[in-house]
Amino acid sequence: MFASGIALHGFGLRYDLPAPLYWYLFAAAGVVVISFVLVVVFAGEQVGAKAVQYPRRAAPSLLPLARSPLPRGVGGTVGVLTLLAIIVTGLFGSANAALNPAEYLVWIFFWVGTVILSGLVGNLWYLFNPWTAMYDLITRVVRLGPVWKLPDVGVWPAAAAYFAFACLELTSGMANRPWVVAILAIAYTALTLAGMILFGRDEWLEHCEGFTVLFGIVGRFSPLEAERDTTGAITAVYIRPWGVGLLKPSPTGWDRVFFVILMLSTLAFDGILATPAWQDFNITLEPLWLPMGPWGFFVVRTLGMTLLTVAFLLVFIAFIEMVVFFGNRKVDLVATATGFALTLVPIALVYNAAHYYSYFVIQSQAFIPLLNDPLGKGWHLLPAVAGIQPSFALAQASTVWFIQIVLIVGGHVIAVYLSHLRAGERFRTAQRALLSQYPMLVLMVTYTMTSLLILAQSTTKAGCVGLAFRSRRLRRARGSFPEPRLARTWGQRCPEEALSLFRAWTLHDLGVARDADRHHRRPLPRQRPHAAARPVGIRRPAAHASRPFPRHGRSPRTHSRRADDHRARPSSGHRGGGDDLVAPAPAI
Amino acid sequence: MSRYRFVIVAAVLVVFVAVGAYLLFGNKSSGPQIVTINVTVTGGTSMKPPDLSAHHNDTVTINITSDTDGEVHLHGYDIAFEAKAGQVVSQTFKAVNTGDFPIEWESTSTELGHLIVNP
Repeated sequence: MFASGIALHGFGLRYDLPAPLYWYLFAAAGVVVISFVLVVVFAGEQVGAKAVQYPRRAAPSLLPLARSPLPRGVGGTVGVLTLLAIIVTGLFGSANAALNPAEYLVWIFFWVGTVILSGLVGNLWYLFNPWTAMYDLITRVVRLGPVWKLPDVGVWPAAAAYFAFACLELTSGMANRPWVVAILAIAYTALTLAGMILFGRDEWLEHCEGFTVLFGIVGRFSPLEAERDTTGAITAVYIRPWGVGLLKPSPTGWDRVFFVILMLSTLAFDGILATPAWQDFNITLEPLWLPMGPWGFFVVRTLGMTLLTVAFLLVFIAFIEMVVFFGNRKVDLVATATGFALTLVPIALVYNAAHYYSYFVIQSQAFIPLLNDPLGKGWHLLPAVAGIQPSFALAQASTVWFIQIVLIVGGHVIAVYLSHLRAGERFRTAQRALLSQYPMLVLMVTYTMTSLLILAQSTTKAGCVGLAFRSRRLRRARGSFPEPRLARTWGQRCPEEALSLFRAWTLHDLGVARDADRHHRRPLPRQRPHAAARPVGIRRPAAHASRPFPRHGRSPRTHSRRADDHRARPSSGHRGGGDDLVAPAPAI
Repeated sequence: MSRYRFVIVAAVLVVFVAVGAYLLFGNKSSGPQIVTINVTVTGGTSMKPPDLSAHHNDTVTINITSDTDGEVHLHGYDIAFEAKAGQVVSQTFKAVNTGDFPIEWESTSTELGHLIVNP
C-alpha cells in the first residue's frame, strides 16, 4: 500500500492533511501569550552563575545499571546487527524502497525514532553506536593507539558529515535507493573505524563523527544525566527536567554554533520543501538548474539548503549582537552565541517530533510485514506478521494536530525559559538580563511561528510543485498559486522524475546504461508538453517494467512485479505493498 | 515566589492544552453519514471529480465508471477497483482513517485524484 514514491525526506508516503487555519491561529496566539506570561512572571530572577543551576534528583537505583557493562553490550549488539541488516538488505533486498527494510531502519527507526527517543529519554546513540561497539571489540583483541594526533579542528568535520547526511536525505534524491544507503553505510563505517584507529576513539568521535556530536546535543535535552569521574566511570545518575541540560557548560566556538544552526536549518528545510516559498525559489532559479540536467535537482536543493543555513546563521548572529548590546556588558561574543544557540535546541527538537510524528507512527508499522520476507525473495519467515496493516489509531488528523500543538508550545516554553536563565548568567543585573532577553524572545517567537507555518502548510505531495509548475506563464494561467488540485496531481511525480534522471546518470556513468546515447536526446523537462499532455509522467508504464534492467552494474534483474511482491495480502481487495512497485525508468 | 511562578505558567499551559483539545476534538460533525460518490475515469489518466471528500467514520461508496479496463487503487485504505470498460465498479468502506489518500491507475501508477477524509 505504500507507494515507492519518494517523499522529500528519505522515503515513504505521507497522508497528512494540511492543518486548518484555526489551528495555526490558535497555536500562534498561544505562543505569543505564553511568551508574554513567561517574561512577566520570570522577570527579575537571579543573575550570575546561580542563574543556570537547575533542579535535579539523584537516581541511585539507576546507578548499578548505568555502571554495568550490560546496557552498552546489549545496545552495541543491537547497533551492530542493525548496521549489518541495513547493509545486507540494502545490497541484496528489494530495489523498491517501500519493500526494503534498510530504508525503514535508516530513515524511520534511526533517523526519526532514535533522535526523538534520545530527546525524550537519554542519549541512545551512546548505547547503540555500532562503530564504538566494533572498535571496543577490536581493542579487546588488539591494542590500538592513536597513530596521529588530530589537529585542532573543533567539530567542523562533524558538521560536514552531518551536512553530507542531510544532503543524502533531502537533496540527493537518492535516499530511497537501498543500495545507495547500503554502500554509504559501508563507506561511513570504514571511515569511522579508520578515524578512531588512527586518531583515537574519543578524539575522532567528538570532533569528526557527525552523529555522536548530534546526539550529544540532543542528549543534553534529555532528562537523564550521568556524572563521571576523571577515568570516565559513572559516579552518579540524575534525573532532571527536560531541556535544562542545555544550560550545562559546553565547549564554545563558532563550530558549535554552526552545528546547532545546521540542526535547525536542515530540519526546517525538510518542511520548507513543501511550501510555496520553495516553489518560487525553484522557479526563479529554473534557468540555472534546468540546463544541468541530472544534476539540476541536486544542485538547486543543496543550494537552497546552504542558503537557508547561511540565512539562519546570519539572523542568529544579528540577534546575538542585539542581545549583547542590550545586555550592555563586555561579554565574550563566541561564548554567548554558543550558550544561546543551545537554548534554541528545544524548538528544533519539538519541531522535529511534530513534523515526523504521523510519518513515524504509520511507517514504523509498515516495517513489520517486511520481517516475513526481508530480502524480497518470497520467503515466509514470519507469516503471522505478513498481513499487518498500519493502524491509523494514533495518527488521525485531529490527534496529530493536537500533539503538534502541545509539542510546539511546550518546546517554545522550555526554550524561552532556558534563554531567560542563560541571560541571567551572562549579564550583570537582572534588569539588563531582562532587557537582553527581548531580542532572543523575538527570535524564538519567529522561529516557532515559522515552524508552525511550515507544519500548517506542508503536505508532502505539494512539495515539488516547483518542478511541476515549469514556468511563471503556466502559473499565471492556472490562477492563484499554489493551486491545490494541480499540486496534488503533479506533486508526486517530481521526485521520481529527478530520480529517473539520476538513475540514468548513474548508469551512464558506470557504463552499464543500455541506451546511454539516448540520454542526450531526452528532452529537458521544459521542452515537454505541459499538463494533460504528459499524464503518464514519471512513473513508467508497466510495459517498460519488464525490460531487464541492470541495476548498479550487477546481474540484470527485472523490476517487474514479482509474484513474491504480492505475498503480503492474499485477498484481492487488499493489495500487498509490492503492488505499488514503480516500474523503473527505462535506461535513458 | 518562585513556586507561584511555575504554578502560573503551568496553569496557562493547562488552559491552552484544554482549549486546544476542545477545538480539535470537541463538537465534531453531525455523526457518521452515508456518502456515495460517482466517479468517471477517462483513459486511465484522469478522473472526474478529481478530489473526493468524506468525513471520519462516514460509510463511503465509490462507484467508478471507466472507459478502459484496468485497476484503480486507493492508497491508505488499500482498496482496488477492478474497472471494466463501460461498467460500474463499486466498493463500500468505512472511512476510519483521516488523511489525504492518493487514487492511482494501478498499471501505470498515474495519479488520478485524491480521497480526502477530514476529521
